[in-house]
Amino acid sequence: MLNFGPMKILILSPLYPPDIADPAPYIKELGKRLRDRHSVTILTYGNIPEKVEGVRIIATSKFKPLFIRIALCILKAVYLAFPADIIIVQNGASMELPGLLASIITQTPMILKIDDMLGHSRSSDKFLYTMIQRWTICSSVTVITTSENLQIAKILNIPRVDKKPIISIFEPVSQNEITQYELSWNDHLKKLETLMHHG
Amino acid sequence: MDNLHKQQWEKYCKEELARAIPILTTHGITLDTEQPHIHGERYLMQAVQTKSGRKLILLGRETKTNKKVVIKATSDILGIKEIEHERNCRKTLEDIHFSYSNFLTPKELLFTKKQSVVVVVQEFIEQDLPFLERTTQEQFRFAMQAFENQEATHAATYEHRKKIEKLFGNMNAKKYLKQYSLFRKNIKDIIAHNKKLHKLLDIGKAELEKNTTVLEQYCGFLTHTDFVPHNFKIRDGHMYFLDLSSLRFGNKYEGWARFLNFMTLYNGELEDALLFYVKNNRASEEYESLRLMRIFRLAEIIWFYVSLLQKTDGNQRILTEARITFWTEVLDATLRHESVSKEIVGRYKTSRDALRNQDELVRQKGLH
Repeated sequence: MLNFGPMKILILSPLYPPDIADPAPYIKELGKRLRDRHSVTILTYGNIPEKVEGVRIIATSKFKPLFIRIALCILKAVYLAFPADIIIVQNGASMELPGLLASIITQTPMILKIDDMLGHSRSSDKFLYTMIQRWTICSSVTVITTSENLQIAKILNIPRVDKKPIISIFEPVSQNEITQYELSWNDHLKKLETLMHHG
Repeated sequence: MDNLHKQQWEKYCKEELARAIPILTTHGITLDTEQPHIHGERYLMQAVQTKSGRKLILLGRETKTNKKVVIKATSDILGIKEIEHERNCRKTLEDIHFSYSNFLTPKELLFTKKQSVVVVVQEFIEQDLPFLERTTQEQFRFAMQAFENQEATHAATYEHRKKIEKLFGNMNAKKYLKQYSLFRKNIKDIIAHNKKLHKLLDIGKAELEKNTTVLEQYCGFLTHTDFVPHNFKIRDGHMYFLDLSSLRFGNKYEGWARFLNFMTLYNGELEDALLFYVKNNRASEEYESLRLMRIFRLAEIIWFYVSLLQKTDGNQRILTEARITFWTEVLDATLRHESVSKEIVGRYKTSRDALRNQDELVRQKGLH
């Protein structure tokens, strides 16, 4: 692991557990793995997000109408971005817009991560969402993806994280699988932290 | 001497059959001579929570093709509502844009409403093997697929909830607590002498109240409240849901809880495997949420059997009492974060099998 100095990281994600769709589990794991070296805050939409010790998780209720929850999320993003050194925005218009405005207002550098391909394809059907994403891409210091097929200007590929091995009574997980999984995270974080420090 | 409830059910079956047979004949359907699903303990079956009325489940064949079919027939207002509700659920599920689920159901061959009788004919899904005769590993794989399929529909936002609330219903922690309190009160009213059960129900209530956040945290998911092997069939590696009327939005472990409580009785090894999976692969809050939902579902099943005390007599009454005792033991163990011992399960099964009548033994054959 590279020895970078601690940073204040703000992660914005439209999905977070108990949501089960990607990238929710990834974001929770990312927070867990960054917390020992950095101060991590996750801003998401949700009602009762799963807790991670040592990570601050702020949620905007999904039970409010769309306009209200986006407006609240923007306010929270701006407030949380002031002390942050870097903002990582997981793709999805509902977080790209708050991330974009928070980055502009607070002048905090932003990394856009586009690898929720389902969300990305849904956005590309809608003019407004496409515009928000384009603007977010322009304002980001770096745009990253783990997808090999995404063709966007200035996008950088970072190593993909392996699927977490499933622990079951019937098929014990081999040490090799666990090592592979840990190695994939190490590679992923190494690249991500390099980008956070150097853009 | 049959009791009044059984006599009423038999009368209902006779009348309903007389109304349904001419309609079925017109549509080229012949009924089988043996109809196991209207006999045995069927007269006692009634869902506690979901919309449920009286209806006949019959087996028959298409006269032209000789293909086996399943028929649901009813003139009962609640029964009609249940059938229509199930059809609406099926249709709506196909249209929910926030769902990644894929529920396979038997093909509907006929739906007709004539002279206040509703008849639905569906293809019969011939299983390669009944669920419980598969290896535990296979059972685990199918169960996991089904749970993940249900969990893939999460009504997480204001807009999603507006879309599904009316049709499916939407349970939250407050509603679960209210429902639990009702089970508790009803049980206490009918069997005032069972102090052990009362105490356990009180502990359960306190646990649910203390953990409302965890209960609420996993709400908003699509869940099949009666997810047990007789409500699905497996053919060519695909699971077909036979009863979509029990789908609702609520805690995602509500369906798990029903399934695990069922497996306490039928396959303890599978129960252990599923618990192990949740404990080792999911958040600790999820494991707790599952335990809380099991407590809720245990109070429900105890209430179901307590409500049958007034409808049963003879051996059926003794069996109902044995069931209450057994599920009380399971509740006790669950509250202590334990599983009920194999000895208790074995003892209960022996007395249950001795007390079941011949019709019920036939009905149970191959049911799971």
